[in-house]
Amino acid sequence: MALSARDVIEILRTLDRLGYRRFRYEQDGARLEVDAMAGGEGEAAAPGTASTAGVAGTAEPVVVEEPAAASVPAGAPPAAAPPREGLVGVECPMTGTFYRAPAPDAPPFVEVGAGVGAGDTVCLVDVMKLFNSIPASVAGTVVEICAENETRVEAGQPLMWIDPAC
Amino acid sequence: MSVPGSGVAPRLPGFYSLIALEAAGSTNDEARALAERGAPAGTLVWAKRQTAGRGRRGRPWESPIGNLYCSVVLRPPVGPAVAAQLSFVTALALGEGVRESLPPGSVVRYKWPNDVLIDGGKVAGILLESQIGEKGLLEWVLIGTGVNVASFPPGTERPATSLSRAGANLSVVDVLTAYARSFWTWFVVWERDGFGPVREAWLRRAAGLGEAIEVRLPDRTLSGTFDALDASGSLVLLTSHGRRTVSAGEVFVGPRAARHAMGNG
Repeated sequence: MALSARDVIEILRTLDRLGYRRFRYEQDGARLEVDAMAGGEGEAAAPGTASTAGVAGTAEPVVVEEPAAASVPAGAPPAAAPPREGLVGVECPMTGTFYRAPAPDAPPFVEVGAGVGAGDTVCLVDVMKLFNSIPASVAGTVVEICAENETRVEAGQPLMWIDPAC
Repeated sequence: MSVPGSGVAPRLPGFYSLIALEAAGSTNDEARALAERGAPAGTLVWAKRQTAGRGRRGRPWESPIGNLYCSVVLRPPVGPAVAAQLSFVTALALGEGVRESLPPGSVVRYKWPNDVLIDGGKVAGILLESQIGEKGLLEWVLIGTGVNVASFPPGTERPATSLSRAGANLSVVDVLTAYARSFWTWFVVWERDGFGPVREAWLRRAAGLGEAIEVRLPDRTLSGTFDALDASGSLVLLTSHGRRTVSAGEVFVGPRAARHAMGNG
């Protein structure tokens, strides 16, 4: 299958819209690789600087790599093993600044030992001035808070561990 | 729909469902309550004044009659890192929405990521809040906007201004209308074409681009040259220790930043 120029442009637009920086697609002998990070570590890449290549090869499933700052789907394997069996992590959805309370003089959303319900807000993460309320995915007891207040946190890292059994 | 005060109804794009209030604690709190009860995208809460207006991190936002306070509910099918680009969409929409009403020679600049400056003074506060849902996508995002139309608070850490002070003869309804229309235009561009066009338009009026700036992080302050905006909206800073990409922090531009640029890393 040959990708037309129009197809490639459409794919690049879609990747830009979704915030993906790396993408590889292979089907029926056509291959498209996009690396918006090309040009060196930490290099700023404008949309449209992605490189493409069409090389014959065998058919493979579509591979999409999430950017470092993208959302991590719920149910993805946690980036770190729980401190003990049966704990459920609250994963950081994107790189940003972690806040335990809604305001500096307000009490934290939760403390270690607190009971939480599924969907309760347990912390905030700020990225580019968007303050995201992060919910507990299960009901239980907070047994560990893994990040310091007002520090940088990375996409996929566990922010807290919840014991659903108590 | 009731319209507080003026009796003049803003003429808004059909996307919006306007809820106009004489007063609210905070329009973001009103919009949040509506969003949690399932209010659709485009729900727009406007209050003539706020009794408990707030900015980022719970900072109080003075909210006298005569300025604009509004919050819109959106439900873009994206994760938080992408939704954060709405910071740029919002600043751009407000700046472009009021720019033509300013006297010739007025200078509109955007300070990373979402401050709107007119002749160097901050004219608005923008507060974006979201709720993460299942699969890492947003349940909703609220964009709260307070625009200094008639007045601005004295004695702020950094210079503030109002549209009136800047020479724009606009009513609150005029500003709401211009902003909401412009926001709708840029939001559609962002949804359809991605961040690229928004990024380009924002960069054309970026404050401090190519200049020495400071970025205050929670635990330290970085100094360097504001080199670029990357494809996701993060600020690229050239420091004496190399290239840094910043996704959260407070930016300072101007002489204060320039004084420190040579010292810190």
